[in-house]
Amino acid sequence: MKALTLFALFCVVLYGFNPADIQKLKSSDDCQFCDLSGAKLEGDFTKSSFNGANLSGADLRNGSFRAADFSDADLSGANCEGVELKGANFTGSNLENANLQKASIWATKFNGSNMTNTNLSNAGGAYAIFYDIDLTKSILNDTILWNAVFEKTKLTQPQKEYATKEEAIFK
Amino acid sequence: MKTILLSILFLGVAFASQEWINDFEEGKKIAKQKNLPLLVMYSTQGCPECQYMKKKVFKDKQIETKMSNDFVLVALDIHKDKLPFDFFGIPTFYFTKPDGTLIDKKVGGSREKDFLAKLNEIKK
Repeated sequence: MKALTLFALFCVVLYGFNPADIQKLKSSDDCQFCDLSGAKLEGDFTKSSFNGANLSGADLRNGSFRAADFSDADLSGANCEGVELKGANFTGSNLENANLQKASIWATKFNGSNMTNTNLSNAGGAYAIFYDIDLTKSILNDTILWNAVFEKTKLTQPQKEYATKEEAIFK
Repeated sequence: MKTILLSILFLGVAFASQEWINDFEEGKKIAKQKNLPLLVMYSTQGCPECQYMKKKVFKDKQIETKMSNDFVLVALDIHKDKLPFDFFGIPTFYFTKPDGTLIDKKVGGSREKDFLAKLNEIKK
């Protein structure tokens, strides 16, 4: 028991996340308001709910999060490189300094998200929705934006020119 | 002369237009007759990546011509059709020999240049 307590404490100190929340995620698709900060998430989390969860600094690279709900979640500094996020919902989420390079963000919804320094380079984002976002400090190098929708979203002039070339839709 | 020109134009259009078959066995028969590899696409309705590939990438002139001239094209709906290979997600592109033996696969949507590179790798 002492060893288990020490192990749990070790996890919290070293990684920050709550081990009980990892168990909760493993046993159900629902991890609302969980503390998964710094955690390494592996497996299939299709349609899982991370609403309001703390995923700051988490490593999602070995997970699949198709149609997952990240609304109001904190993903600041999270590593989502190459991750399947198709159709996921990031409404109200914090994606500051998050790495979404080569991520699959087809038809993914970014609504009112903080995307300061978010790296979307080489991500596949056709049909993605960007609403009420300041993207001027995010990176859109070679991001697929065909039919992506930009509404009430701030872009730099080069970003706007790039998105136009990509046949994005501006509302 | 006019007839010849019209015929050339017609052939050009015919070769450039993509004809998709919705039956793998039928595709194999045609592939054997033509001695061409098969390109089998798994997709379904409401798949954004599939729409991107169909409406954007496949419309690229080089890709359109390459696909039409060098492959027998089979489109299978993961919810409706009999699937000859393991399912990895949509869209997945399977490349086979004319007899249906799997050569390679490509999962997910991609840029025109990447898709064309894969087509050229399969059929030089």
